[in-house]
Amino acid sequence: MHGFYIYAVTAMLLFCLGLFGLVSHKNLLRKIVALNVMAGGVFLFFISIANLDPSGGVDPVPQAMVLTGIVVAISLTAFALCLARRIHEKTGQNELDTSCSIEGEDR
Amino acid sequence: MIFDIISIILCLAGAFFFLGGTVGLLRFPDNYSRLHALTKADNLGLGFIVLGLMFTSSALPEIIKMGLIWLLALVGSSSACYFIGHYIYRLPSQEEE
Amino acid sequence: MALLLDMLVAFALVATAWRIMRSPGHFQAVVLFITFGLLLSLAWARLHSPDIALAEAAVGAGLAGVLLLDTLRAVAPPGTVKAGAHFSWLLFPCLLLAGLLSLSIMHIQPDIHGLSRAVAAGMQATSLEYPVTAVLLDFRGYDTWLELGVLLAAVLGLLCVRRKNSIRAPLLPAPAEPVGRWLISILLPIIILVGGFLLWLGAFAPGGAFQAGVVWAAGGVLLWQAGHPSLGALPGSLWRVSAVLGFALFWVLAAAALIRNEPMLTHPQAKGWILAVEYAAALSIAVCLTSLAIGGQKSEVRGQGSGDR
Repeated sequence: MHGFYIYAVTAMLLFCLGLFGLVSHKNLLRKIVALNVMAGGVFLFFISIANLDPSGGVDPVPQAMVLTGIVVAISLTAFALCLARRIHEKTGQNELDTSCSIEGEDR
Repeated sequence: MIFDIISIILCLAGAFFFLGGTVGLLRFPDNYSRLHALTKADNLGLGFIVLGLMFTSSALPEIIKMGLIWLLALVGSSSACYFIGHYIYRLPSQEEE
Repeated sequence: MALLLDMLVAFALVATAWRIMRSPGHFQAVVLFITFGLLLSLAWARLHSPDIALAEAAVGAGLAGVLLLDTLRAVAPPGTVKAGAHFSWLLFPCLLLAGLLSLSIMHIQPDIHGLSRAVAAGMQATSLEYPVTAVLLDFRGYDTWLELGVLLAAVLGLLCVRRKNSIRAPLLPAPAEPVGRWLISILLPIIILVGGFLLWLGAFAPGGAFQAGVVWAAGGVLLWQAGHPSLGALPGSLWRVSAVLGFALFWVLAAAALIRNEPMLTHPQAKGWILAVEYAAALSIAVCLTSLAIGGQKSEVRGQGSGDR
């Protein structure tokens, strides 16, 4: 019971810290790491809810969904990192230049 | 009962070595001695804790599995130590080139 | 005592996340993120979810770490790193949001009934004995199916972005140091064995296709990192077939049920079906994750990196 509140509040903090990192960093790599921290917060909240089950056990459905979510998150991370690398190759920068988005591209 | 006491003593000894390894990691001046503290003291600490946990277990497969896990951790950390040491050793020579 | 441990883990998680966001160096942030993954898997163990702890330790700390470090080396050589944080005042709205969300937690009814009763009632209808595996492969099979689809889509997207024809990147030349080879010769059989053990265990205990696939993928990445020629010796068609096998088998299962005029993804009451799907899913997850870790490489960068070592 106490465990639920501790981990649920932790999950909220992780989510919001990840959100902060996502908006406060310009570097794409750091943004991707922050996104992963956010995902960790969501998973943690999901599982802490699953622990509330009155039967004493842990609800298996959220567990299965988090397992799916972890694999989806890693494939998303891999693809995002690949895009970041491509952006670096094309523009020599590790961040998205929002002021001149078309000019930087070589077409 | 006697097994519980032995297990507690062994786990405390393991915790002591872990503490020593961590203090060494934080306080030692250069990379090599830090590596030394991390791999040697921590592996000994892990060994003590595994040994302590073996005494609490009654099933033989569990005991064997714990021993295997310790051996695997030894393999992993010793080779990680080698790779990190190798990398540090090569760093200055690369700068000279 | 248990409360103390929970609070310690929770505090360590939040403190590590804070350091990840605020540390000036990128390398430091990535290493802290690996630590974060390990701490998170400790939290899963505390929350009675050994399946997720296993997957998180292998994915969050292992594969994600490899991917991030590789990308970091490619895009930001050490020495050019600078602190790039701006909009620091946004911390206050974010913390406010965290406070509001935490307040909303207090309104969650502590006696909610989850789906564990429904799962327990359905357990008679399935040939699997472990509820989490039953949910993954039987009750909510379409989750796993579409998750395999996402993995496949990520691999295809990666190939499009890297403009490669083959999933397999050019393999590294074998390293000169003997320790890497020695490590491979010890760890690879153990990794294959542990993956198979987890797969077998999944039918009645924590373990299953996901964990096995992730462990095998870690083995594949290890092989590639050490420059072992065995991955390159595999024919490309075998690699492609393995990547789509899990998705395709689910598809066949769904189509067969539709042809028999039954709801989609229902299957005959035989353990063989479930096991075939599970093994295929594990193989596909392993191959897709390995491809994702390897495929992002640019061959010139790798060759150069190993050349000046």
